[in-house]
Amino acid sequence: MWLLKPTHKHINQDTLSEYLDGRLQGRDLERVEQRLENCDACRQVVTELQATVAMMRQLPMETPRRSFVMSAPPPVPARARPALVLRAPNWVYAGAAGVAALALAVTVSVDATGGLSSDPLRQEVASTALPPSPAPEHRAVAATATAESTSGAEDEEAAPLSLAAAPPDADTAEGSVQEESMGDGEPARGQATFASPSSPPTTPAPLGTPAPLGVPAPSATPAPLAAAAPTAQESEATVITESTMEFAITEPALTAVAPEAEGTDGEIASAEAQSAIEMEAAKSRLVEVPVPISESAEPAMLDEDGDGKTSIWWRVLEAAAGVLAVGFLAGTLLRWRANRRDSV
Amino acid sequence: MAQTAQITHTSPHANLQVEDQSGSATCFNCVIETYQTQAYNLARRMLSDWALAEDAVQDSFVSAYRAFNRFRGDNLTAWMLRIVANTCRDMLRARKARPTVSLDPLPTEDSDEPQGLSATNIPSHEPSPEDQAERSELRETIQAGLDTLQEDQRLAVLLVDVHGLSYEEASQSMGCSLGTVKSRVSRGRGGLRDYLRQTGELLPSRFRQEE
Repeated sequence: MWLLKPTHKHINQDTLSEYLDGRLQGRDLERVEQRLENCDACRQVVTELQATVAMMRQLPMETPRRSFVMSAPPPVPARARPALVLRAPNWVYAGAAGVAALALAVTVSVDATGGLSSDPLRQEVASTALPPSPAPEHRAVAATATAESTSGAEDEEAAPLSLAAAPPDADTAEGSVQEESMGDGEPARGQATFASPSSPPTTPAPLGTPAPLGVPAPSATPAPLAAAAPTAQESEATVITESTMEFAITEPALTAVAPEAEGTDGEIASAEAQSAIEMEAAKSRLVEVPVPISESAEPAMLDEDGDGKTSIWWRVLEAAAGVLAVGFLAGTLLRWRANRRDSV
Repeated sequence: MAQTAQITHTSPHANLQVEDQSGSATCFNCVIETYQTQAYNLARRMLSDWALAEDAVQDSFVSAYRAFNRFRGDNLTAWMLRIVANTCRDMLRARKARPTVSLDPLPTEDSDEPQGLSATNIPSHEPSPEDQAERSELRETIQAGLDTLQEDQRLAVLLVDVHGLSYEEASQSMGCSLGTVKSRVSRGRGGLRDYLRQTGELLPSRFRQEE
């Protein structure tokens, strides 16, 4: 008998319980009976379990102290009618919660990936995950300073800026212009030529109509291209240098094209530069002009000022989607609990 | 197992007709008379409180009356005991959440007389004092052992060993799988056996002498 002990395993309690209820058949029953013959501990457990079950089955059924027969139908419970928002089927709340969550995900993802910016180049930069450039501030400064110097040049009866007034050696200095402007910030005359072709792409088409925004028409600004006042030119050169730095960082491809345009026709390039500066001025003023709330909300959702900050309307849209998602999810859970409580 | 067709009148009472899911009409008071003893015993052993057990049975029959149109007509015993078990679970949870002490005097076996008589409050036959004492001793011992079990194990043991339900019927009443019922019954029996071994008083002498 002791030789069996090292390899003997007592019968599982669940198996013994089934054995007591007569639910074992065939080989399982034979195996259990064989083990019971060889194991005193298993046999004792079975005996005790049999006694326990027998005592349970011999328990007397107590008679109720009173009868529960009903003399009349039980009154219908005055259940409070659920709120109107909880009467719809459960799938309505689940679907609405899913749609709201999807809307929230779309709005947040569009916001996070820079899709709200109206600048296509900014969108491209944002999509390539480049760090944001300090361009907006520089551009605004350049445009504002240009507008001021332009008006000052009017008073002095001098051209606000003449890119064609650059010395003949401007073309020779073009090769080192970018490095100089980025290095020490010295006003280089050749740098002005870089601003002219690079500015138009940054000006969106809707901004070309500055009339409702109070931007002065380009024709109001005199543009004698050849006669440049030294002081105005100096100040403009400094301003444009900053602008050039910005474009050199954000728009290298356009900067590379610049010398060709300047080399073919200096006056045309200067006119384009002037118009670009005017557009920048209009753009900066557009930011300063407050947009009435009564206007259409769609343009306000875009990041037209290009400052990288999301519009407040977009934030409101995100918050609304989030609130709706959470609300419908809560409604789904409440409805599910109510259905569970109603089921018997 | 008792079906709705087997429910018959045993005493005059109001004829409350109910229909199950198949549209078969049944006298609900006949259902009550058939199952009130089982329901009361199950509730009393689950709750260990006679007053709560009566409330549980009353609530269970009211719930069954309102939900009878959802009964599919297969096994009325399992269906009724399931309602009673659910009501007892709710009461146990409520008692755990808000433990209270009843101000009513503790019931004794001699004070089983009903408080009032009415057409719907007819006293049942009373057992003799000797029977009451014997049943009380056995019930108290078993009840003490049942109280040591977990709620699900207690319900499984009561349904299978006391009320004589098969594992399949118990699985319907408990709303769980057959394997779960087997496990709960086994563990419940094992726990009750351990309790009885610790007390060492109630097992028959022949079992104790073998040790």
